[in-house]
Amino acid sequence: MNINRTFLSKSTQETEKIAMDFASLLKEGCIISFKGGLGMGKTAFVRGMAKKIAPDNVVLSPTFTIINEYRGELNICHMDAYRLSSADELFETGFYDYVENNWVCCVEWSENVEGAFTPDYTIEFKLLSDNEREITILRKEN
Amino acid sequence: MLLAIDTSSKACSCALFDNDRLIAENYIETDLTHSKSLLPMIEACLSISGKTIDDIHMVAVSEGPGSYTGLRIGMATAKGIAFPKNLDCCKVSTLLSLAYNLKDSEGTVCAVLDARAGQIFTALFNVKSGIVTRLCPDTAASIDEFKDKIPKGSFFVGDGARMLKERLHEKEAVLPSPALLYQRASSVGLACLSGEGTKCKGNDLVPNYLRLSQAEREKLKKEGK
Repeated sequence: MNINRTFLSKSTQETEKIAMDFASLLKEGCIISFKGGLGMGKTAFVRGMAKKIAPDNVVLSPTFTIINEYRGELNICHMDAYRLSSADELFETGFYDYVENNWVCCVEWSENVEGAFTPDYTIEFKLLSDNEREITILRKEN
Repeated sequence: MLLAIDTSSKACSCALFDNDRLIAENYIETDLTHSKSLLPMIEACLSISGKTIDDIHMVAVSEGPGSYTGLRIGMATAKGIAFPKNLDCCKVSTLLSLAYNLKDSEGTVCAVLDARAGQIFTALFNVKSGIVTRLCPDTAASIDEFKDKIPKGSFFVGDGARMLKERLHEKEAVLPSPALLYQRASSVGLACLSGEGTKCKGNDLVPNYLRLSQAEREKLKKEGK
């Protein structure tokens, strides 16, 4: 997959397929920011990633748990920062333990904790219609 | 009998002391979380030693700095063991306990944990004739800010030791053997038995992350510090 690209998804399944292809690029320790509003497909994208790198897991929205763990070939820390508002609150979730142990960290609603970490990839979701999403994958410039 | 616990890093360990004598120690570094491994490890130490939980009169535990979740698991376990009989507890700085790994050496010990992005948690100690003497408080700083304080030929110990030795190669630092390089519960216990650490009750066990709040960091940033 060439990154720094925009994809059109017309279904949850297409979002998951894009994510599976993206996951093949990942190494341990990658941090991925997800930006986009409610119902854009952020968790579906993580589900697609997990199908590739941590398949024996049930991927659910971490809205209430804040962090879900998926263990596999690469371990995934799936975080929802919707209820966080600062770097201090991010620290108090234990997020940095996952970073230090080289988990692949996926942070939904990362705009709420902007500046608290430097993502390797940013994935932006944009609503085009009820069934269509524009998904842009950006890689951090070195 | 003293039970000592360290869960400040990826490794998990516990140790039992009968008066001043180390009688059992359990240490692992695996992918298991400490919440799953610590209590079975304590049970194993007690069982093999022919002791029971009722023989424990004090619990010593690493208070930080270190892993956010790890420290909380160790302290929560210590609290749970201490509460039923209101046992005395002792919280010991992770950096101080690292210096106790080298208490029978002679020289300056730089205990260091990697805090990422060029930052370290560190403190300096002098070790001589079995005595550990603190030379500076536990500090969160950048490597560049702290490096001039480290004497040449110091021992570096902790999970940041290898990184720091490589980064400050001109210091000609000495690394201890692998068995003494990282945090261990026996050193937490030795520090406590030497009168170090803070004696308290279970209610007072709170992690010390040695971390500035966001407001404090932003204030320092504005002041150019």
